[in-house]
Amino acid sequence: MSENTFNYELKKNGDIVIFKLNERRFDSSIAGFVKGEFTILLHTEDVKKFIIDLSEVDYCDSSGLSAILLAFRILQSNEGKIKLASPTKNVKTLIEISQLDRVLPICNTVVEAVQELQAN
Amino acid sequence: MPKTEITIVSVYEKVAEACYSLRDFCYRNKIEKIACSELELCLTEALNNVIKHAYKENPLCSIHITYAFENGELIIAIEDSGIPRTNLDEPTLTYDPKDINSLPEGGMGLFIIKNLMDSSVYKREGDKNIFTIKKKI
Repeated sequence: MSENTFNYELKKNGDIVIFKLNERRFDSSIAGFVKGEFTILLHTEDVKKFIIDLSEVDYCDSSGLSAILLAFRILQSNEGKIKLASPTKNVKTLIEISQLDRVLPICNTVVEAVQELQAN
Repeated sequence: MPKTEITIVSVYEKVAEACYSLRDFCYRNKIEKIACSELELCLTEALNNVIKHAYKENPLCSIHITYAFENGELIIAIEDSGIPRTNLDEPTLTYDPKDINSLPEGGMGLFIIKNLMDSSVYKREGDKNIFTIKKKI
């Protein structure tokens, strides 16, 4: 990763947008940039169904969680839905410790997340 | 007593460097991976707090970190010369899952540390903040 940027992929599956973060560390060094990207994407593209694919993220801290919460807030205020897909064990543990598993829906795979959003 | 020291400049990009040295310290002292991951997360949260709150994101400051393994405990001491910590309350995290406005925007770091470590102690010594976290291994 070079400074002031981060690696990600965006895919569309019908009306579902899949954001895959291609970084091993989702921490303070990139969280601000991810927040900026989420804000632009979710406000300007009128996204209602959003998946964050965390399969490449080995490590996440509370600033990473804060970026995810921002996406959650924007979607909730637009009556949209979010799913977190394929979190690694470390990331899942952090979400559970922070008690955010009560609000953030977690799916084991992107396919499962897509199916759940399509069913709604 | 095995001990390692590292000093980093106060920017978020350098936090990973401290984590790598912690991981190396854990590896050399045969500390299991789960405990190492928990320690790494708590170190990150503590360093983020120093950069954000004690140094107000001034990139020209330094943070000194010491790792020690003593009597079955891994001890991390984080030392900075920033603004003293004012909120010494027990960290809590209470929110209503149905109310998005009550979701935590920040302040999760100390709560995470409290939950994963066996002890955390903050003290002010002269012009220095010293935050020590310990985990029984």
